[in-house]
Amino acid sequence: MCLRPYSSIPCTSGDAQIKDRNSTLYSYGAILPEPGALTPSAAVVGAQRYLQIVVCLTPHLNFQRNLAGVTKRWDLMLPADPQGRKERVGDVIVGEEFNERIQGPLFAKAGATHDYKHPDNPDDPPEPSPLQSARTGGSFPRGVIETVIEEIQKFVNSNGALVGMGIGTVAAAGGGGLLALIPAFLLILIILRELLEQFDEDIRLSEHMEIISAALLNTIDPNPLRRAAGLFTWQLIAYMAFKLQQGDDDFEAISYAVMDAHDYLDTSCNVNVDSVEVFFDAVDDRLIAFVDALIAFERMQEIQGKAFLGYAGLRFMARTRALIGMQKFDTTCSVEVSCLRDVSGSQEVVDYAVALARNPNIKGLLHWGQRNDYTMAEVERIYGDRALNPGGNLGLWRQALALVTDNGRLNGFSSEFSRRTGLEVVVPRIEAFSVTPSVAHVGDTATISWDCTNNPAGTLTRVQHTRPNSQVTPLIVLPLAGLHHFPLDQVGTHLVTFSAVYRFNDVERLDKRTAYISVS
Amino acid sequence: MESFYGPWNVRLNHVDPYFRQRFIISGSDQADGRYEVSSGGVVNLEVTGSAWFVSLETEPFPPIAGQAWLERTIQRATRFEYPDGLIVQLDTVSLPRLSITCISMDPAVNPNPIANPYDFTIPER
Repeated sequence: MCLRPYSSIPCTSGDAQIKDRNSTLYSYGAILPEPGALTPSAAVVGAQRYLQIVVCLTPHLNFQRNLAGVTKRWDLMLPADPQGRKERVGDVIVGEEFNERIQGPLFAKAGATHDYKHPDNPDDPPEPSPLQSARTGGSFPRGVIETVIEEIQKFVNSNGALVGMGIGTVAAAGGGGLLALIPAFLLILIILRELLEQFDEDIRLSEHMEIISAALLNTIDPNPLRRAAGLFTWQLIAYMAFKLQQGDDDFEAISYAVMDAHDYLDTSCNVNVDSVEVFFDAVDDRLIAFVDALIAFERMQEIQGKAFLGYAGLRFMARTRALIGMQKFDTTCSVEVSCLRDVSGSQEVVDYAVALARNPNIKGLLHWGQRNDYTMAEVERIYGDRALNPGGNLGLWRQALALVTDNGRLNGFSSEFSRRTGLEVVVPRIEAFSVTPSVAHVGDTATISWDCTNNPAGTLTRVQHTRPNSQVTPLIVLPLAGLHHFPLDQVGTHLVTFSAVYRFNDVERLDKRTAYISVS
Repeated sequence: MESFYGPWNVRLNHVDPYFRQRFIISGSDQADGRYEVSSGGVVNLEVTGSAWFVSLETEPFPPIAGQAWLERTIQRATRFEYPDGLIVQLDTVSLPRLSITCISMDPAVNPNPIANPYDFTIPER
């Protein structure tokens, strides 16, 4: 994992590294022999098999850059005692060699630890990461604030001569704008120290960040220098927090220790998160346009005194075989926008991402399992099976659903979500239909029989009798299965039209049969 | 033919001289038509509609009997630039070149850009 300026990924190599499936972003055959990089303890087997780019939406370098953290993974030969096994799973609990509930051995640490954080020295036990600590206390934001105070204090005391690493990165060289903010920074230092004094170790990270952002950004002070100093300090805090989370970090461990990043001891931080995940063709430039739009939105709202706290994570994957899977492209990229909802401005970015993804000019595909505001019309535009143009992958998917639900009669899979998005059986089916006799004499009686039992609730049947003189008689509303008799009172050809009709989300679909009776 | 949804502003980006070229708008609410363009000319066209289409055409040279205009293959490129917002550029993939730029006017896509009043700069070292 390493940090890079976001703009260098899509742009400097010709818009390129993401759009070019053969670029080095995807296709390193082995771990790069970079100075200071990890030397694996076992041989690498196979090509790179994971790529993630996490973009910090908060800008730096005077609003011109955004940080990105790049993560890649490779498979290694499995050593006898792989790192992560004892930390993430542990030993089998004595007496629990076969646990009835899980139908297998119960391990002491399975599902009972923080996510794996490798130790710098493999012989040392792993320690919780800063974010892990922050979930059960406030040390992470406290540490960031202390560092920021130190940097600003040095900058102020030296009248702008001493520029720390953070300030030097969040500001751009070539002007004196920050020097004019020195008096305002004195006020910011007072605010930050007050925040530290009133620090509540027991509240969530998101609540800490909301308090910090409210103090720094959402000021009623009309002094523009004070607002500028507050925003700069917020960007400095966001930059340092992201850098701590996404900094260089090469390690090896058993696959479940690497990939199961869930913190089973987390009872606070993640409970107030909102997220949306949007899928694109990785070689379609709408992907980059989408991310750039999020960055522009955040830039705009920071100027207005709000701020997003979270990330945009780009992950790359192959095409799925699932009929309505979001991974519709040979190389699909998902953009997950995830925020701590307590911070004013975070929800706004997620809402904007959802609206942008749903815009047909952008053509993003929403994850079925995260926030998904699709309507049935949108789902049919993307996956097919509109009433006027039936078929496509959604049509096949609905056929499969019809198979296991008696064409929608059984509604165990139906929910508010499936009904809104149209993941339902929508086409009624006439299972049996007959009209007898087909040849008759005037005065005879004809019998219609039908069976439409296996259909979604609300399906209606209609019968229409057209006499030889073109007189049309709609018959009474009929049950889903039954018989109906009517007299044949004219010589000529009688037409019987039978329909099963189902109206769903204001769209009517039908199955229709016709029969003729020749009467002499 | 490229599809668009909602309100856009269409501008001429580039047209090679010496050829008659035009773009066609169809399916829009009020801007359907054939717009012949020439080098140095200015186009600033508001187009909206639930779904509308653009195609690019060139008068064939040498002339093709019975075919006054030739529909061109289009390369579509999308980008998002502050402060304009969502931009789609349509280019012919071969010569003669015709290029138009479409800028989304949908406020839900392009929130009103705000001039940045801040100057976070430090002296060069």
